[in-house]
Amino acid sequence: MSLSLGLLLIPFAILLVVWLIFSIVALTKMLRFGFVSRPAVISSFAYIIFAVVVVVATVTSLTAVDWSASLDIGTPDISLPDLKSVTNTFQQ
Amino acid sequence: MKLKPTFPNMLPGEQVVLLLHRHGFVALRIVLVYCLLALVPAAAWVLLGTRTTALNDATSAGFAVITILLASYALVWGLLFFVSWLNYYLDVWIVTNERIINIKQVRLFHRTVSEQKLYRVQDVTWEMQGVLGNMLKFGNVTIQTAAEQSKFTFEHIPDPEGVAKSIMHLLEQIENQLGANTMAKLDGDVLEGAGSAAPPRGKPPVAKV
Repeated sequence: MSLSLGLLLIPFAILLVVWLIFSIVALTKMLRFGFVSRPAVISSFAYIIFAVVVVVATVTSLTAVDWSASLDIGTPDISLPDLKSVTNTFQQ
Repeated sequence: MKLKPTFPNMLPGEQVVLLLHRHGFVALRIVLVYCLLALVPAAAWVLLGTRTTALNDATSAGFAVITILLASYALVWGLLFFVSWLNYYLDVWIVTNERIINIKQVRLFHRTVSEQKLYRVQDVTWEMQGVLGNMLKFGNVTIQTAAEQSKFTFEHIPDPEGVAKSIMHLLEQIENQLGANTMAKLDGDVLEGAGSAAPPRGKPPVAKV
């Protein structure tokens, strides 16, 4: 079975959306209930920088990929012997 | 310049005496666990780079799959790390000259805040358990009050002995201001009203800091 490589981006996009929602909630909680203290602000900035670096690095890495190519799943490339010739050999 | 610690909903004339988080060792434990978890994709990257050719061709399907998997792992790892830090950092106990506030961040979507007037405190107990607790001087302080939520526990806080002493000192100040008779009367009021939500009559005492 083969499927388009581009289909891999759908679950990744769903994960990104869920991750983004949880990240916004977490950051809001930290800044709202963290008494706007130095550790709260520093950790929030560190998280935002980490997230931006990961997303940018991922996008940069994936730009060169040929998304129109197909991905083979569950069809191992094994060449089986020709059964007809084997049967003929035994009959002779 | 040192800023005075503040928090939302402070009463007029209220001053923060103690603002406590869990001991730094608890945070260090979280950091260590997540550092170990960060090694998993790093090891996978090295193994795949040395034993396969998947990472050699940046246009291949194998490279795309591996990159997406690693990016997903990194994003989820980062989020869980941040939420764990948030759960640690937003667990706060505040002692002011008027009340004790217990803020507990249980999970990302679960937060409880409870508070108790200082003059309702009946008993303060502190404990340090285990080898690490005694070496690093962290432990629990349990405060018994005459209210519906009768117990407040400050968990894994640094210097529990000092914290217990500070609270006792604040209570002594309130007692000295009001005199033993008034305190006994207040205690009586509090015990009578312990089952109900009605506050004790009269102006609550405030410790001078």
